[in-house]
Amino acid sequence: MTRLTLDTLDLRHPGTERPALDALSLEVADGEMVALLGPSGCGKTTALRVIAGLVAPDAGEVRFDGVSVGHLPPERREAVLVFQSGQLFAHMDVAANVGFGLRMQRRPKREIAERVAEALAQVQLGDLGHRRPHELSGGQRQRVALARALVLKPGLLLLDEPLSSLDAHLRGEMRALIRRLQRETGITTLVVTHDQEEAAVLGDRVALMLGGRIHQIGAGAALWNRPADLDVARFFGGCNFISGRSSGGGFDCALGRLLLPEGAPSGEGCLTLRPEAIEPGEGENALTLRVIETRFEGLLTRITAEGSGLRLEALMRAGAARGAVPGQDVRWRLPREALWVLPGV
Amino acid sequence: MNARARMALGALLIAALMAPLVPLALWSVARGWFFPQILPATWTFEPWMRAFAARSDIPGALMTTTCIALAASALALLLGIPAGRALGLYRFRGKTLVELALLAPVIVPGIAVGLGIHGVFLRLGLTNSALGVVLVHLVPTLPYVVFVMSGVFANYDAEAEAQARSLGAKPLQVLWHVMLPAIAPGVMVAGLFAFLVSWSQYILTLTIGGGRVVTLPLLLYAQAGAGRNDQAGVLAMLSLAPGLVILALVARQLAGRGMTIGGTR
Repeated sequence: MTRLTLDTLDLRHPGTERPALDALSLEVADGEMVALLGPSGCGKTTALRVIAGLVAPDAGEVRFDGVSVGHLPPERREAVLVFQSGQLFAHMDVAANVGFGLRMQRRPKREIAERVAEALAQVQLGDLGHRRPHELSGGQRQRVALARALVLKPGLLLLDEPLSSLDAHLRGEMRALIRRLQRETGITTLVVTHDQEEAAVLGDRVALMLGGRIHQIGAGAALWNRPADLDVARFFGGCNFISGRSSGGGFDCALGRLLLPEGAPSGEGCLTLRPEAIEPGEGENALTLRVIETRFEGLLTRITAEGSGLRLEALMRAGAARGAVPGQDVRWRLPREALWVLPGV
Repeated sequence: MNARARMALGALLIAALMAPLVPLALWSVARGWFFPQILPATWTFEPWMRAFAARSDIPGALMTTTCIALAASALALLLGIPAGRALGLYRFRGKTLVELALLAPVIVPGIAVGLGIHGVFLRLGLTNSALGVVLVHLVPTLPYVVFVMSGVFANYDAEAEAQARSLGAKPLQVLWHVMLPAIAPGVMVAGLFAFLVSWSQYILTLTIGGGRVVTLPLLLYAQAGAGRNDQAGVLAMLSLAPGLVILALVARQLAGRGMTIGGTR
């Protein structure tokens, strides 16, 4: 439908220290769904508003299908932004809300009625057209907001935290619905979220945004297991960072030489390893460490252990964690494919 | 307090507020009502007939008052809605000062304001004209509108407008289809207040209108001053009318649904 290009966008809100957008560049392919992931305050919502035309960037360009849309007001852009709160118009019923955009285009009444019915059916709310927004549940409201955008058949759909106001079980349902509708309609979609899991499930690709710019973009698994830098690794819950030197498929550090997966960058760097990747037992990259502390965290137990002056944190399921008692030695295996090197850190 | 006591207290309050109006109402339908009599000796509709007779200036004044009040409240809304929006939605340096300045006309005596403005309007050629009176009525009406509207906009979520823009609405469409419906109850209350304030203006109308623009309060004072109690009674009843009509119209809004004035959240 529409290919989206963000070209070195800069934006600084007046009176703030840090820029909201800092040379932000991003390319979303036609029909692709990209999840824009980041902590709150990283500028991801601002980015959506810039794309929608609600905020003008200080510098840089937004292009739809390669054509700059900087001069177009929001109502003339191919993009529709669905706000986090849903923003249903309280004085209109559901059908009027969904038909709002079409009415603004002065479409014939019959066409509006047909398309509204179709859109409501798409989000499985076919029989709620006459309800008022305040009579709907949170999940229904969010679906109405989605239908209101889809009915316009936009070239680009911008979703701002579409699931944040829903409780857990609704979230899964809504996630599946968004995913299915996006596949069916093929609308290029940019979805903003602060939830890693949501980003991984929703996005064909995940773009991690920190401090106003994209730090890494790729398939979800790549961001988890192959972080591009320290900030990315930290964002995804990385807590084990060991400095040393990578060469010839191995990493030399205080713990000795650890074997690396293929394609790991070489040179001075920092070894990173997700806490849940550590396994108890013997094998490749096995180490002896002394347990310092264990902390129960529900499904998993967080174990801190020390060896050669370095601390490692592991998250293990109850069974695997049973052997770990503070003060005792354990044998831990650092699986080769779970290791990654952040070069130059 | 139990329900019956509350009811009794309510009735007492209503009686105390309505009591002064009773003699006025009676005067308007009395012929020869003198001191020791508790009720008029003879009842008649003559004062009313006279008030609406061909040579009476009451119908004209009624028309003038209505038109001026309508024009003044419309103008007050036109200016007061954007001002209220700015005060309700945005924080800016000196906001408290602006709010205080807006209150000033309510605090400063009307006669002082009126005389000051008279000098200005004289030079502009606005004295002795209905237009001048409409403009000077903005002095007492505008603060009401601005304050009601700033309260309404404080509860208004401007994000709805951004959402509407993104859904394809042009700025004017946003104004018409999103903002106005959301603030409509507040606009109605503000407009009615403005209407009533303008309707009952005396000093400002007199100073700027110079006696050429004759409204009901002017006639009322004149008749009361001349001791024409029957005509004063008629005029008082006429002056009361819009207030009562408006009260009946918005009672539901002010009491039961008062919480929802302009709320979109």
